Amino acid sequence: MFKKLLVAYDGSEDSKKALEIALELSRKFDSEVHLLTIVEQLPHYAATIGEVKEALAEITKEIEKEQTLVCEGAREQGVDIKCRILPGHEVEAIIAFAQKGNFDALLLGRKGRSAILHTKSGSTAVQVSTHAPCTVILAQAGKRKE
Amino acid sequence: MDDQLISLVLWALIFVASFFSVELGLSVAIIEISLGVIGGNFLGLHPTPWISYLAGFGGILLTFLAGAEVDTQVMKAKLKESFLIGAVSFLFPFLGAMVYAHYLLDWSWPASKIAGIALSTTSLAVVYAVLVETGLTNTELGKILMAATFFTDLGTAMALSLLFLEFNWFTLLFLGVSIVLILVIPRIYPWICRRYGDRVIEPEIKFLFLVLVVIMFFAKVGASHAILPAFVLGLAMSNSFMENRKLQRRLRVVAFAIITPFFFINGGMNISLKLLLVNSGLLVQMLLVKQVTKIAGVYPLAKKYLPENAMYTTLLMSTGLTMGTISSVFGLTAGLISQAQFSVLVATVVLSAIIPTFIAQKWFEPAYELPEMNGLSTNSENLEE
Repeated sequence: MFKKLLVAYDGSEDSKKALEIALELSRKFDSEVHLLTIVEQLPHYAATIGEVKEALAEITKEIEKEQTLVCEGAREQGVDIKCRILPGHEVEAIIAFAQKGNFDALLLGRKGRSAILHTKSGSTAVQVSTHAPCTVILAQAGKRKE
Repeated sequence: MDDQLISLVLWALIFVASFFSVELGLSVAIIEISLGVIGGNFLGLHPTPWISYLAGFGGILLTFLAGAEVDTQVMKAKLKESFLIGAVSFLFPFLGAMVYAHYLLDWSWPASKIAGIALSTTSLAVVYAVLVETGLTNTELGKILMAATFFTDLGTAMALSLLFLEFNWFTLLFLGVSIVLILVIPRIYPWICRRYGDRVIEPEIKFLFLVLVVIMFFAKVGASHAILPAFVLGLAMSNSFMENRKLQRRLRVVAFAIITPFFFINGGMNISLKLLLVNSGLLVQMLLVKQVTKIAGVYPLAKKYLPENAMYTTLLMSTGLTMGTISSVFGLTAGLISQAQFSVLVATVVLSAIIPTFIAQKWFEPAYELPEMNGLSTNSENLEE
């Protein structure tokens, strides 16, 4: 049932919770876990290609650092994670990746980091769960007062 | 306002621009132009000789970078389609805007030529960012778009250098010096990098700046403009530039931290909001002229070569920013256009970076293409495995 899991991870508390659930499912069902992070803060209307390329490289490096820590933590718990970083619009990139990877479930935080001023937004989760080609689990870190 | 105070306000604006760029995910250039507008219209900033010098050098450096960042492999892959799309993307708006400005708006011929050149441009950087976001950089569409943009830029650089040429014997000297530098520098530069590179004092970057200043000097003596040789020199050096990741990064750091902010803030500073408001109708007309002529030129060819994404291609080829601003700044500095005309042209150029991109992404964007594994992952493996 949960042989192949995809975690859409952006470092937010909710996405950390999604990862936690994925690791638990993996231990229970011996699932394969993939971690996907989207680079979504590329500068729009740049003056030179260099500005975009440097931003892409800088953000990718940061994400790689974070993914490495996540992988090490998971490995300590006996789960081997496969990580991937993709540039692009977060909803479209997550859906395209989920479609191509033939996953059994997609796990993501209910509210993640938004590109603008790093505020919280729930729109990605809504759109991803509407268009996802598989079961979607929306995780929430702790109880939240709405 | 005295020089020290101008310097203080400018550096504050340069810092604030970089802060907002990171937080808003917007290009620092757009924010620098906007803050330049605020500085010029509300904070009493005005161009001084040292700002104008740095801005002029910034424009040439940006042109060099535009040439150096061209991926020649991509360009060769789709040469015919890219050349044709890029050529009409330059010619139609250039001729259309020039004729419109002269005959319908009664602008002088030199001002009309500047209008034609400024509105003919396509922004490679804007196109590239959109392609990265849709995963299309390595597709046929992405390759044709990026290569076509190069040909449009080349048309702009040629027009700006040749149309305002006041031939004298020193022009031949400028031509000779440019050709020698374009032939020699790409050959000796790798040796300079090997021998003097990787030092905090950056001799290889200083050498590059010296070469650009030499071109600017002889362009002035020869009554021409340095934009074409700077662009072609960049192109001639693009292969070694692409291979030297450290040099790329250092040059960009120096350029974006110290030099190009003056170019964009100076551009914004010269925009008069009052004159822009009075000429808002003109702004709409110019924007429409650019879009209509781009559509008339690019769409039929895009329909032929990229039928599924013809309008998307056309809209992305309608974007402009850096080269358009450089052309307008040249026109103002050379006294070919008035401040009102400059304000309208730069505002049109900036809006042309935003509006066609928005429409293309909102209504004509192709489906997201999952990029091939391209080194962006840590312990990545193919999904099919």
